Amino acid sequence: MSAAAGMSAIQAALMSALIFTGAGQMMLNNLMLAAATPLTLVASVAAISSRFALYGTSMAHELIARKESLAKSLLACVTLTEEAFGISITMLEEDGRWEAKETIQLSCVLIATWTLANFVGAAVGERLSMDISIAAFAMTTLFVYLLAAQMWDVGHVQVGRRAVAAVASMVSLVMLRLCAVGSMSVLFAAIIGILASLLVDVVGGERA
Amino acid sequence: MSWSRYALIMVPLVLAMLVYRAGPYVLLRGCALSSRVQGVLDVIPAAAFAALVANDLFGQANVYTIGIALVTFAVAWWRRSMILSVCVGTALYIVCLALSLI
Repeated sequence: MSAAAGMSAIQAALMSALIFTGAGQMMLNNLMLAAATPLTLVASVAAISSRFALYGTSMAHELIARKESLAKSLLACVTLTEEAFGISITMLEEDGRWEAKETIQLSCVLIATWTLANFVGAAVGERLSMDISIAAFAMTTLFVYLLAAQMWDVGHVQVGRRAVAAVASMVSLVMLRLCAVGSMSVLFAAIIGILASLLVDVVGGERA
Repeated sequence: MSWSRYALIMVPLVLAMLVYRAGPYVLLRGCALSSRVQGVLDVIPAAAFAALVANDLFGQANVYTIGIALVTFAVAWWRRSMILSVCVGTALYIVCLALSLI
């Protein structure tokens, strides 16, 4: 798609190495194909990628709690990908040996793989045809596992909060998609889930 | 694409991504957080993963994909193994795909 949008293989690889956001890059290529202005491109991709602020906030909370050094923490945050966030946040909670260093290593491997794959894709272009639905579903199963991992080895109150956030997030995602909100649905649904959990917490606290 | 146009698009995007990813750490560092704020931060991953799962399933939601997701969740809960969960879920998807159920 990057090649069709007018990028060279080097430009496509550089983009992957610099911004490393799958959904954002797909949108960027789509908008380039539609001859959008640079301002539209930047605003749209920045908007769809704003969910990284949520991941960054959650990761920052864990890194600060563990008193990781400034340099390692910043590097762990700036190299964060969706998949690295999922695995790292689970490991930081579960495995006492997992540190910012492991998060950085994982992110670097993921970014390098992503960059290489995009370079090959842009270089080979449309001559390469493959069914990516299986790989895409494997990612879905990874997110299912990470969601399940959020529910174990924590207290009942915490499980309750997280379950409320997850269910509200899923329901609102479906409603947002049905209302054709589109690519911002994930961010909005996650925020609604967080707010629902907060609301239940506040109401529960008042009753107690 | 010319490199000047490429830079015009990429430089602001790289800056935006840096702010999204590292901004929260810079803002939260050195702040004493109330228990309520900590509670909010605690539920972010669950809310985000749930939204990502629902978003992935939305476009191809049928009884089989939802069933596979539930089985994957059950395996994850039961065995607590990332590899096993992903392998079981993906294998079931391949079987359903081969049987033209998806």
